[in-house]
Amino acid sequence: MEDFRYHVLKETYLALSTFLGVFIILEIIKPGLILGYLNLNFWLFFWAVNVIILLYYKKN
Amino acid sequence: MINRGSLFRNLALNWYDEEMQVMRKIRYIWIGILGTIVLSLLYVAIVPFGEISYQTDFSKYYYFISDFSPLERLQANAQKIKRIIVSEPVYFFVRPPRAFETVAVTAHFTNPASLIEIGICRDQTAWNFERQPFYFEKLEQLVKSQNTLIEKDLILWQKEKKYDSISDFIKNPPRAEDFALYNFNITPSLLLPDYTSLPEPKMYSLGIRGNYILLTYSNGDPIEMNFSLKNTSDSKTSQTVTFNLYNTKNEVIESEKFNFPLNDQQSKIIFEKKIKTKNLIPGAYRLEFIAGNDFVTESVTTTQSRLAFLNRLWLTDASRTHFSMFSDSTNIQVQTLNPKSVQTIFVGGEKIDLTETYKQFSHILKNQNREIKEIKLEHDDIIIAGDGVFTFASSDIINPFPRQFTNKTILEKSDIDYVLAHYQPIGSQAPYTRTVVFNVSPFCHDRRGLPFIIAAPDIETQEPVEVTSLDITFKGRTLSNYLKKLFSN
Repeated sequence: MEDFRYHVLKETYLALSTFLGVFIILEIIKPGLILGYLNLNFWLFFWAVNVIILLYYKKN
Repeated sequence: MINRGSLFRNLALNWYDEEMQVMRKIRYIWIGILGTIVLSLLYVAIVPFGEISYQTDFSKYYYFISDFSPLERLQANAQKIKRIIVSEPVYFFVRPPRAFETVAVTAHFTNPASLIEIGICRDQTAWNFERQPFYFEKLEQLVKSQNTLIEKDLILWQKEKKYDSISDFIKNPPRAEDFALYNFNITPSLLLPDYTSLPEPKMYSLGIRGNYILLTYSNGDPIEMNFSLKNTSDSKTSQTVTFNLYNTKNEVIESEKFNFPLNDQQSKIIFEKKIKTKNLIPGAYRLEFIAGNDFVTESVTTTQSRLAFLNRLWLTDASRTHFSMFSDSTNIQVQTLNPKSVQTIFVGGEKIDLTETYKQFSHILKNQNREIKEIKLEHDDIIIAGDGVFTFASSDIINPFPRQFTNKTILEKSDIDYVLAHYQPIGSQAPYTRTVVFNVSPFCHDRRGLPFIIAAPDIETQEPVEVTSLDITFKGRTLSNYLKKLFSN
């Protein structure tokens, strides 16, 4: 179960990072395409929280 | 520390056990969600059906429609929403995702001022806006008069009924002195049989800053003018100056754009620019000079004996004291940025106290007739504007244009017999809603977006105008039209 949680967290990290990367690339290609509709602050916040938890799991 | 390589290695996970099967499903789901989001974003960026709308009530930040600016001209309401206009004009910027052909602006107002106009930028250098009426109280009242004809979006008010239809009026307009126009353009042809040009070129000392519109006349001969221009800017970048010559039908006769030369002592440059046309059809002509406020037209040398400035001019600081100008305006606005130019101005014997810098002082003359009035000034470096023309000598006056019907026009006192307006009444009951449609000009689009203006010349701080919401709809080519055109070429 512990291992499964770790995998879910890793998958979430992968998903959030991919979303973030795609959004940043799209925003560079077409300014306003992302920032016009999405607030990336929240995205970055969830990504950072996810990374912190993931690091905590990895440490233990 | 997370190994970066693990991010990519994760893509090649081995899916053998049961938990990994679940993980695979989760991956498919988020990749699907990402794909859907990307496709949706592409849809709103491409706008395949050629139409997209944006709405705001200014309650929160909205990327596509900016807040009104400047902030000093706004007052927040009880909910701290900055949409109450206390001073004008205010601007807002709209960011369309791609190029469009038209934009429809639907505004919802409460407490409109006596005149509200909405405009779209047409020239960013000159900061010119094409305006359309939103609400005009005087026209709303004229519509109720028995002497008013209405045909589609046109309104014709007659002091005494003479015309049976508006099309009759347009076909056979009266003298330009007898009627006023609003949001419509008809200019009766002006012929001056006694006109003679000067035998020798005369130098008119102007000292005018920025843009202006010069009216002159040709009896068929070419118009030849030699302008002395000065650039007072410290900017080291090239600046463009444009001359456009129009006839009274608003057709461009000549147009010339050039870059003002630069050198290390550019502030001292006097640049001579000669404008010479070919032979012209006899009539009045309008020469538009477009440049930034850094440019000063020191003088013009010409044989033209009629030379008048339409509506507005900024007399720069050329140490002129106790001098006169002449105008056929019925209302005058004056403003100065220079404390030395605070003064008392007399217009046709009526006094205007210009007591403060930066503030615009407006005066409606008791004499509402289109007679030539002398304007006595103590100092230059003032901006003077009105509904007529301005000249430095009374004999120079020429004005082929009918008066503009403005919120300052007093019909009862004036000699205006007709008012023709392109305006659709919206009634005098709140809420006030109107949609105005503009063609989109790509030349004004900058990183802030497409500039729009809301002008309300008679707005008072005690009676502010509240814009409750704005709906902006862009229309343009569809994706199928674009592809058809692409493959047909």
